[in-house]
Amino acid sequence: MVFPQIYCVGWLEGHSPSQRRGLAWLLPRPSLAQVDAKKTYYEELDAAVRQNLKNRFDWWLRTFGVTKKEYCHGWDEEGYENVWVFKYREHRIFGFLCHPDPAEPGFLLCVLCSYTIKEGWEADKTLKDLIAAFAVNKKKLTAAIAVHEAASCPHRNEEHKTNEATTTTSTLD
Amino acid sequence: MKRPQPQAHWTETNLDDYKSRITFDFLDQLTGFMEAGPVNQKGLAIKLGIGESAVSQIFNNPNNLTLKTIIKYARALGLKVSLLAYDDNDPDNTRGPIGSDVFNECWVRQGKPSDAFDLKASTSFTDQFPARFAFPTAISATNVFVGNFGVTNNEVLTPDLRDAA
Repeated sequence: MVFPQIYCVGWLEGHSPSQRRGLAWLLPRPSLAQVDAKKTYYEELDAAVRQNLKNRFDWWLRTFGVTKKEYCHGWDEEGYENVWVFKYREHRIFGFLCHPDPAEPGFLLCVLCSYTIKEGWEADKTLKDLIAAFAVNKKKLTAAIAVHEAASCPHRNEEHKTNEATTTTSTLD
Repeated sequence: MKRPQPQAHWTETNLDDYKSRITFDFLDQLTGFMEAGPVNQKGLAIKLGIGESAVSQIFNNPNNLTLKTIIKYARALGLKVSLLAYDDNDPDNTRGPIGSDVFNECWVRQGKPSDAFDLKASTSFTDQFPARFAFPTAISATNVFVGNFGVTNNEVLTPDLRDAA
């Protein structure tokens, strides 16, 4: 896996972050075929599916201390501790959890990466591995998010510009 | 980390989205009661006299829920329903509706008062500190409601309020 040189992270429109939690899309540049969550969400999912996913996003943003695996969950397995998935019927949106800002250690960000349709009982291992790799790389990613607070992504006008609230970016080593 | 400028919550887009959020919240409550109680989804279907798949369909896609159906489902589980309008100082709806779990927890913490007399009889923050908490009438009922809880022991008071106590 060749990781992209630039990460952009865009807030989810309509889901304002609180002091505790936030949701964002991962938008690598150049783009990666597997990192398709935002594109699929806006361009391919029908409105009813999106609405149900929004309710799950909303639930995660505002709920503390309760687990509902039918809405979203992570994994305890070693290597996948930061991988996270939102679920509605067969629809899955994978991402990873991180604390992007050392100045706000209590703030938890879920960075959504990939969309898939669940076919078997187990989650797609290839996809989980990809997300886990992003999660491992998250030190660089979160540093990028934290350092470049107000920077605008140089490619943000290419797509979905109306859906991006604030975008952060950084060139990684 | 820079936060985005306040923008409309997704439930502000249209009434269907708002309704979806409320019905999702309602069914989430029912799921919680069913997980904790003796009646599961199959039992609920039997009580309602409909097929389990019909119940499952509602839980998977709650958009078709009417107020009558909401009451019917709640009553089948021995529960009641209240509709609550509140002012949370967010007239543009940038934060979305407050979850019913928050309101419910406040009500439980207050001892589940069943009417205004029960509420008055319970120890309240405003009773203890009437001058400091003489809220203007325009302030939201929700905030006053929340303000009544969690302050029966001094541990939760701020140092400033501890002095006042």
